[in-house]
Amino acid sequence: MSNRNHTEASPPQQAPSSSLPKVIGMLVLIGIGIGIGAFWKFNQKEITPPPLVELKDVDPLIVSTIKAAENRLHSDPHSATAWGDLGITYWVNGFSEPGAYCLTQARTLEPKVGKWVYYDGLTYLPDDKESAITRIKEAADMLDSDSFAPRLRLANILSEDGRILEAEPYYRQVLEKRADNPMAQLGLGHAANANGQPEEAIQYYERCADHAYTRKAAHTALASLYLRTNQPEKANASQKIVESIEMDEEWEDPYLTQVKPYRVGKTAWLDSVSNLVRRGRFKDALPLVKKIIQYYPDTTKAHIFLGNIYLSDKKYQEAEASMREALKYDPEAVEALVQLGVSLFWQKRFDESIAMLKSALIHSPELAEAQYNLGLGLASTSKTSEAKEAFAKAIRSKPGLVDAYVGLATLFLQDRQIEEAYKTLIKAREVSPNHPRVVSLLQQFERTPPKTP
Amino acid sequence: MVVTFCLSACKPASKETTSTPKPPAPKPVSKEWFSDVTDQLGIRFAHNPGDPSDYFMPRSLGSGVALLDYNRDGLMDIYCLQNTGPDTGNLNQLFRQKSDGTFENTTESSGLGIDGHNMGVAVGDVTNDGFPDVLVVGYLSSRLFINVEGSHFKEVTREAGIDNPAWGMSASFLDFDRDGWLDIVIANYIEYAPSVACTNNRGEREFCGPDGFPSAVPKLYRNSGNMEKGSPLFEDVTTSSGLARVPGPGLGVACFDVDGDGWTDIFFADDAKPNRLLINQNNGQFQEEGLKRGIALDAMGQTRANMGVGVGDVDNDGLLDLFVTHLATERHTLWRQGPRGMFSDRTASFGLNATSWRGTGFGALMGDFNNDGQTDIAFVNGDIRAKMNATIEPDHPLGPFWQKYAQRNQLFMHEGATTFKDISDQNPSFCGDENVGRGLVSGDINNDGVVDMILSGIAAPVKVLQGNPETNGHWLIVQATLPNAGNRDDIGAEIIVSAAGKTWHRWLNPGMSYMCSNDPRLHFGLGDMTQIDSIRVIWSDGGQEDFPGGDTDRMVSLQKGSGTPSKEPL
Repeated sequence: MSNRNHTEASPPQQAPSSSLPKVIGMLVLIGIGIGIGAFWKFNQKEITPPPLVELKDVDPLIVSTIKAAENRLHSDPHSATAWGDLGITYWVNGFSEPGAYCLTQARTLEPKVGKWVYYDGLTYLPDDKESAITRIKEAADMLDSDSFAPRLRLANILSEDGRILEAEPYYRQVLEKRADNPMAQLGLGHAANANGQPEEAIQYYERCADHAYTRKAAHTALASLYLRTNQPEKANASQKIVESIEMDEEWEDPYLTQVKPYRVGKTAWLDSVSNLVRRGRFKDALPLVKKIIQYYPDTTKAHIFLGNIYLSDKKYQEAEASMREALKYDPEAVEALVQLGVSLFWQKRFDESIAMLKSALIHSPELAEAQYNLGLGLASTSKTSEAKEAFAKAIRSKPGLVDAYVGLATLFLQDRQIEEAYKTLIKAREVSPNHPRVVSLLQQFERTPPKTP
Repeated sequence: MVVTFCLSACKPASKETTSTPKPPAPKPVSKEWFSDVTDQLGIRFAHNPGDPSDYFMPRSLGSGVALLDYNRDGLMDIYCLQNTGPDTGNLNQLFRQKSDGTFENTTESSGLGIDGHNMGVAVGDVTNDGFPDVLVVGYLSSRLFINVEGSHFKEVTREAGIDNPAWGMSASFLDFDRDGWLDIVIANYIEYAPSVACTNNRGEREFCGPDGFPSAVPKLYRNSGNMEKGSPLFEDVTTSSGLARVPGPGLGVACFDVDGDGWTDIFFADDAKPNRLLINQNNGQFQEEGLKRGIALDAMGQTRANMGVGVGDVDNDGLLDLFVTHLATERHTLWRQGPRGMFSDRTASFGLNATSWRGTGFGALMGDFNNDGQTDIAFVNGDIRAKMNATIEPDHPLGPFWQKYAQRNQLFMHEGATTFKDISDQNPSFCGDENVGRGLVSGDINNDGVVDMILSGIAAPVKVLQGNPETNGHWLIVQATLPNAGNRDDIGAEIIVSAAGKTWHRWLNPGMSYMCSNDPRLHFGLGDMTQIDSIRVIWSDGGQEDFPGGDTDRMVSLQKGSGTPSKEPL
């Protein structure tokens, strides 16, 4: 039985005016959102894509590195880092203009990050020094608390451009913060020299004359200044030091150290290897050489570098293998033929060595080192007159090759051609007065001088 | 609610590759210093470097030109070198100047029509018969030709004992032992291996530079003064002289008395290595002193790519100075001598850093081109690395390959005591067109007292530029000869002209610039001097004679022994 008389309670009814705050709130939120969006959009710099770059005939590894950087940019076009990475990749791999473009974009996105300004400036070197200088000046101020490198580089750029007097205050600023900085000392030495102040210049140069970064450069300047100031013995001593150093160590610019890995490809790696080998750093060069061979197995030069490194380590069999590999790709590579000849010589495989050296001489008949090594090989197989001819040809091609004179003189002595030996050694002494072998052989003559007509 | 924000629409990507900006077009000229008279004079010679697709290095370094009066008629003749290679039939060419000022090609009967990778040329009389002889050096080749009484040349390389199997770039004659007979020095370059393939930063093929190749030893040949079967006899004194101890990648050579002891010294401009200055020890030997004397490296103590050598006296202090050209990324260097025998880099202080553009310089000259009494500088440019991203012009006269290396030449006028002003834009005949400039010689081809020039560029016609006779200023041209040596030019002499308390110094050796040989007669621009007081000659053997002054604007021929022995210093 229903209770018609019972009334069910209705849900409570809200008064109509209580929904308005919500609506207003949402409208406000929307408005704020639009406002933020408009503000952001207004301040959002227009991002244009990087310029198209012709990559035909470019090293494939460089191409793939550029493409990877481009892809990173496409996935995050508002990232200063992505723009910067692409810019650096372009720049260090030989595409300065697109590199500058991308780094400008990075600057725009992160205007307070000094490294983008610095790198942007560096892209203008060496062709547009004014643009480089303007930017690097700005970067030097921004990065001064982190590193002296941009300021020092600015000073060096100005100096190298002949604007030594403009560079001078920047060198002083570096010294204010780092009193023992040898490059700044060197730069101030150049400034004093340019100002016609030799004594002051000497002081600066002497302060940095023992540092690995500046030893050669400082003594180079000192050699001349000592002579000008009537100190000939010091001038000679400085000259000897200069002649004993192949090149000064490169000073560390941390910003350039960071970008080194971006430079890829065969040319870059071969340059690095060449640099290391020139400084005698074979152990450091070895992994890079192997990397070149891994990526570019047909690079003759890399196999030759590897072979030379093995030769320096007296690993003659490995050297032989490397040179043979080089010749697979370039059968006429003269250096490979010669060094193969050398590695066979040291394994006492004289006939094979001779054959290789003769092949080298077919391609490069005047190559003195090949003639000399051939002479050694022929002498080792008792083919004396052919050996003499080879040494004589080496001397003809390279009158400064003192070992060839020694080789020839030794054979003359063997054949009891005393006068010829003596004349040869006299010539050798003219080339290299202190060569130990020349000196010792000539000493024998001093004990029993040859008869002269 | 999600609020989305959209990127603004991207602009369409540019389809153009980046291109190298060109220098601005030259401004209209009111008084250009030179005019191109090549066609007018009938000189038809196009340098041919051969097919460059093998990037064979000698092709990129060009060839020289010589000015010589081979038949002694008082008119300069021209010898142009070709670099196509051996057995190509592309020969060096000899042009004889006729009395009307035009030239005729006399190569066929001259004996100088040789092919090869011919690069440097030196001119000097090695037989003392008065007729200038010719030495041509190049890639693995050095050849000596003696002049047979002005009618033709005969090769005597082997007979003379000239044996230089190296890559010769420049050469010069000099009398280093002061015996009255001209000796020979050859600047050899590097021990190049053609099988080495070089690339640029991007891995694209490019010509090699000197790095990675051993430096070559220069050659010095002493003239014995003896003849055998019609040939002079030379002795190779490279080792005994000490030159064998100092190899270097020599591109340019200049022979002058630097330290003032009266004996000729030798300067080598070395590519990417310190320059060498071999000081004559007066006993047949030389000592290398470039570093100590401040000329090995620039003001920053850095090695430069040293190519062409201009010799002159920029500040009229009586000491010769050198202008050496470098790469476009480096500054060409003016080495001012002072005190005697010591040099310092004064490029910046002479305003030579303020240039309209930069190029990789080769042939360089220091001379008074406007006869105002001050030494000016001219040099030719042409790169050794192709421009990256260059837009290839289909109708470019140099063709698709060499146009990427082309640059404009430069000319600097000496203004005031220590300033040079770049007037390249005002001289389009010399500086207007881009070229791959290499050789540059100067001389007075038409005997009008104004310096003329000849340019030799890779893969281009040789260009003869006549000095503009409308330039102001008086002049004198002096020839200094040795009557006991067939009246040959006294290479190694110094001539000093005095007028109104001023002096002008010149040094007699045509072998300077780059791979070239210049007019051996010495030109003096004298400004507003209408009279000179005297001429002093310091002969190559150290003797000094004074000759009377007189009017300017004439040619003077001075013979040793016909002057008055000098008694007082100037």
